[in-house]
Amino acid sequence: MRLHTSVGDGSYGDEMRFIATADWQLGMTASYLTAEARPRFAQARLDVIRAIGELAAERAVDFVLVCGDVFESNQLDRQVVLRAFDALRAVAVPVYLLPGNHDPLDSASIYTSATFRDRCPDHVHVLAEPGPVTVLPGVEVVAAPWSNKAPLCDLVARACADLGPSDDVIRIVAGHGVVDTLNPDRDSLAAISVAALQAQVDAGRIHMCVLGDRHSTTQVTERIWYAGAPEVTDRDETDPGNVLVVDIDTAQPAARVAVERVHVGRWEFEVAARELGSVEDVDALVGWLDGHSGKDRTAIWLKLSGTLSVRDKARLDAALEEQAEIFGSVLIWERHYDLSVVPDDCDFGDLGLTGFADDAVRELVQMAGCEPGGAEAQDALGLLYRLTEASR
Amino acid sequence: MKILRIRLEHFRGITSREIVLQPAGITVVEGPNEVGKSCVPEAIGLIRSYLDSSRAKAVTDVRPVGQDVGPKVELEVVTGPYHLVYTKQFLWRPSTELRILAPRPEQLAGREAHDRFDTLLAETLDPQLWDALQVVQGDSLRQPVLARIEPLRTALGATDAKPGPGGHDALIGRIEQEYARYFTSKTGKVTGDYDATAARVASTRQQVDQLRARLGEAEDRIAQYARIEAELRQVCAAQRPVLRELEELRSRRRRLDELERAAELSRADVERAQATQAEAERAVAQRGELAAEHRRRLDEHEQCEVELSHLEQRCTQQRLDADLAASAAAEAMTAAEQLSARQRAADDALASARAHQDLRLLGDRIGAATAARITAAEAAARLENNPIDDAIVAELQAAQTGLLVAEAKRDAGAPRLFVTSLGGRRIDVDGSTLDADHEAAVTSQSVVEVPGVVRVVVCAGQDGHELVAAAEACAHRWQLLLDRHVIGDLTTARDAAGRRRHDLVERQLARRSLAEALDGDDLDEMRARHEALRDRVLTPVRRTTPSAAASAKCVRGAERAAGLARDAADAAAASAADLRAAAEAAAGVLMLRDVERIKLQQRLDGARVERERTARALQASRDGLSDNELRTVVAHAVKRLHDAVVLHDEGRDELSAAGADELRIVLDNAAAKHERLARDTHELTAQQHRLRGQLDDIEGQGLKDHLDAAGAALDDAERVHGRLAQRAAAVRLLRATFTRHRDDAQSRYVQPFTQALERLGRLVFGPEMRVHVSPELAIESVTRGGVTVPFEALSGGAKEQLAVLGRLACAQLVGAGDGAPVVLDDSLGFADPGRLERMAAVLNEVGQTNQIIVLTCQPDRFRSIGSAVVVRLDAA
Repeated sequence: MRLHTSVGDGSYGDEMRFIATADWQLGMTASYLTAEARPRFAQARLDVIRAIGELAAERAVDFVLVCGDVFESNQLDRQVVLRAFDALRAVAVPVYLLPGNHDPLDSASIYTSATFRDRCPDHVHVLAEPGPVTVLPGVEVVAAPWSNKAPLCDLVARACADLGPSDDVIRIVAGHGVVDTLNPDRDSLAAISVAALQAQVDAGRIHMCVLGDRHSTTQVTERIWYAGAPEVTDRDETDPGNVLVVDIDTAQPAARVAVERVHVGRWEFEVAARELGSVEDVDALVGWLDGHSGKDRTAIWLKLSGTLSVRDKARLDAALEEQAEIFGSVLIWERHYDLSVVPDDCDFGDLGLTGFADDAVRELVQMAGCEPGGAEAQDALGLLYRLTEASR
Repeated sequence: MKILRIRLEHFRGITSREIVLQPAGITVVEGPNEVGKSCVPEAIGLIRSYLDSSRAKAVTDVRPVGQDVGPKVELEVVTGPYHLVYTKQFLWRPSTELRILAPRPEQLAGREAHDRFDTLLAETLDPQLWDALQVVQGDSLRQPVLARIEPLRTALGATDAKPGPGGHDALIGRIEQEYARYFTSKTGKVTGDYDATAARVASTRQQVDQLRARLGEAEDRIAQYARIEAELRQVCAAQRPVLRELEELRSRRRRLDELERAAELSRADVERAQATQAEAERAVAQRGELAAEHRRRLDEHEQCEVELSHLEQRCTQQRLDADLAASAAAEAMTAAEQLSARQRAADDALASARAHQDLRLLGDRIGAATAARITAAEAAARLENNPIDDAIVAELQAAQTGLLVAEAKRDAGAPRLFVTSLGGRRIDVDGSTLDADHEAAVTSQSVVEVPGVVRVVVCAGQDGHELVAAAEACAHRWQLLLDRHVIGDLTTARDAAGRRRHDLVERQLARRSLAEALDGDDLDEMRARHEALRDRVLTPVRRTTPSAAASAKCVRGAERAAGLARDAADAAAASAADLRAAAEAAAGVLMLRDVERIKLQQRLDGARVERERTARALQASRDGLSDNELRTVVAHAVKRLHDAVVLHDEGRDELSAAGADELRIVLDNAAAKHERLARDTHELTAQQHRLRGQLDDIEGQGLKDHLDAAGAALDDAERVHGRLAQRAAAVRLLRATFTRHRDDAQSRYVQPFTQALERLGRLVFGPEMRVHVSPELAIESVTRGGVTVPFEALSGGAKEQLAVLGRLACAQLVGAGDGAPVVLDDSLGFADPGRLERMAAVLNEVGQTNQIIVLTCQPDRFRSIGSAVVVRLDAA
């Protein structure tokens, strides 16, 4: 065990330090991104491993613990595994991988595949067996790996069931799954019981518990943490892109645990709600988008509502189309879309439409204001606007 | 627009000419062909379309041939609010000038003038209307395209405001263009990118579905693998208690096997004890049998001895009897022999007597026989010498008779020759000198010759020859007979024959006597017999031969004596034979007795041997095991059998208590259970291996990657397609809405146009005439007298007239203000005079409000138009 001297007031003894992370989801495809942005996003989630490696070196940690869902699935191309290993070689300390619900240790597990077995770097270990594993002298990781996609019990509780007194050993539990306090489905068989886990903590049998599955970094209790995904994967994640640097006092592990969240992710997923009522609103939204730095690593979901004239809507569409080319993606979240297009006098008044053409436009305008067919009529008017734009 | 005046200089054949047109009303421009009536529209076209600098063919075409001048056109028109004069000279000293007289005087030149004129015209004249109202030479049958003419539409649509330049056609065109990006114009089928993205969405979705299915399959297999693993664990767990149970049952089974083996052994023991007992009992029985036999043998021996002693007594008696009988027989025999000797002597005497008698008789017979034989021999010798018998005599006699008869016949028939010598001359008759008279029958020929004198030849006739020959034959036969019997004549013969008969009788008698004497015997034998008999009978002593009587008497006495002796001898012999028979019978009995005795003796010997054998056997048996000991053995065997049976019964009880059957059933069940579990294990393992193989195949295929990639592609495609779909829907709605409104509007226009057309048409075609007009304002059909005829099926005249009527109606509807002049260039050539008359009326009517310019080379055609002003163009 490498020993660290606390940078604090020095009143603490030697410390053990490791990086806790989870949910790398390697091999995940982000279909919501543009085709052009997807490889960049995939690459980013390999790059983040290298970033973790740099952090490990910088903070001189003893090992890296990855709590499940290292891979998006067991059914991945071997190149994903090979690229992951390549990235993992940038991590100089031992890395412990816990099989999660996405990559369980079932009969088709990626961890037992020929590629994995043959090419796995020596410092990378799979926590395949439930129960304690000594990762360093005096340090045990109590692993609760998933052996299939639908376990019928609290795997963490089971892994900890036979633990004796910790004595001189630091015990870190590595688990994966939803904890019951955060799980809306409280009857779920596989939910991790926080109470039971906390009881183990309180009894001093374990000193730290790192969980995977929740991509947002979350502190459940003082010593029970979701490490979160080191790179964002979905728009609903509240605090992704972090890893945890955990310090444990080897002399008094029960006394103090220091958990620091370090942001390593480079991508941002944002959801923006805007009510648009005028050309100024449109311009403000476009300005806001323009103001983003790192657009190519940003995906934006827009919740749009309000009312725009045909002309303003056309302006908005053109602007968003342009921005979508620059950003990782700019998407209008259809479910939250409530933007009406109402033609005003300015839209077609100066076209000099007479007779039947005028009648047709009037009819479309009327249609645009009611359902069903309103959206389509709005589109038709938008199109008419576009077609007549040249003659203005 | 109204054209007020056209001035042409150096324009085709025209050197200089000004044509003034009626601003309202009809101007008929008359002129022969080639003079240039068509120059009017041509000049208007040139001045509108070409810059003065143009050297286009249309421009150069109008230059007068061979003149170095520039064609010049001056046009004075009123259009909209403008009154203007527009002048253009082409090719030579080209120039353009526009003088605007009203509403605000203005003068422009050059390009500016050209552009301004264009602007003013575009502002005030609908080019389509202008085109529609011109009937170009040779194109008079075609209907004008009226539907797109804005002024007409404006005129027809009461509410429409004045449309902007280009109208809505450009917009509709752009909508159509946009529509065509997504749909085919005819059938509205999806096309282009929209179609392609739909196909891409479908194919990508299919790909996603396939991949999802494959992934689902893989996950099913993984789940199945886990299930099998669990099952295997269960089966293994289930196997353990079954194995334990099986083990316990098998040990019970082994114990049971031991019991069965023990029962088997005890049963063998019982069988052995039974055998031993049986054997001992058999030995006892044998011993009893042996003793009994020995006793039987003793009895038998004893009985034999008694029987033998009886038999020997009887034999002794019998021997005595036999001896007595034998001696009696011997005595009788001797007596009989003596009597027999006596009898033989008597017989001898008899024989001797008989021999003597025989000798005598034999001698007699020999003598008689000898004598008879001699007599016979003598007779025979005589006969031998005399063969002439009665037959020969008869033969001789017959021959002699025949000869005589033949000679008589000869002599009677033949010529008779008589010769008598009469002179002394020698006469030769038949060679013989006749010495006497000669008489002879001439039988053949006779020659009488007197030598030197005469020769007479007498010849017999035919009959004479034959008779001579017959006589000669008989004579010959006769001589032969005589010669043969060596006899001289018949008498001698008859004597010889008598002797012969006598001798024959004698010989016969002698032969009979000989036969009597011989009495069948041979003489020589008789002599030998006689010789022998004589030698035997006649002893030297008695060489005499007794007489016959004596010998017979002697014989009779000897016969008597011999008979007596024979009787006595026979009686004695009979008696002796009886006695000997009795003696022989006694001896036979004795012999039988002896045989019997010998047999009995042999039986006795046999019985003794048997007795000794049985005695020995018994002794030997007893020497081996005394009777007492034998009894002990039996008792022991009985006891052992009992013990063995008891032991065996105990074992069987224990075996049945062990429940072999139940154990078998339970054991079988446990074994089957075990087997089934083993089979399950095997099958599950096999399944597991199979699945393992399948999972290994799936491994590394990156199904999830592919699915995600395909899903992303699908999202992309759907996004693109969604956008296109949205736009397509928009354009479809837009187009549909516009088209519908346009069609509605057009159909609203159709009514007033139809009314205007029919009003004019009725002037030409009669009051019942009706037309059907399309929304495009084209005449589709005409109905007259209840018969509807499509426009295209109408006669050329009717088509032309209707086409002109359509233009006139249009011009009338548009009115003078917004209108354009109606130009009819060489039109109505198809019309008959009646129609022409009525068309003239129509033109006159329309001419009240509109400018009409008629260009024609046939002035008569339009003579009937009342208000027409005629302008004549003459050849320059």
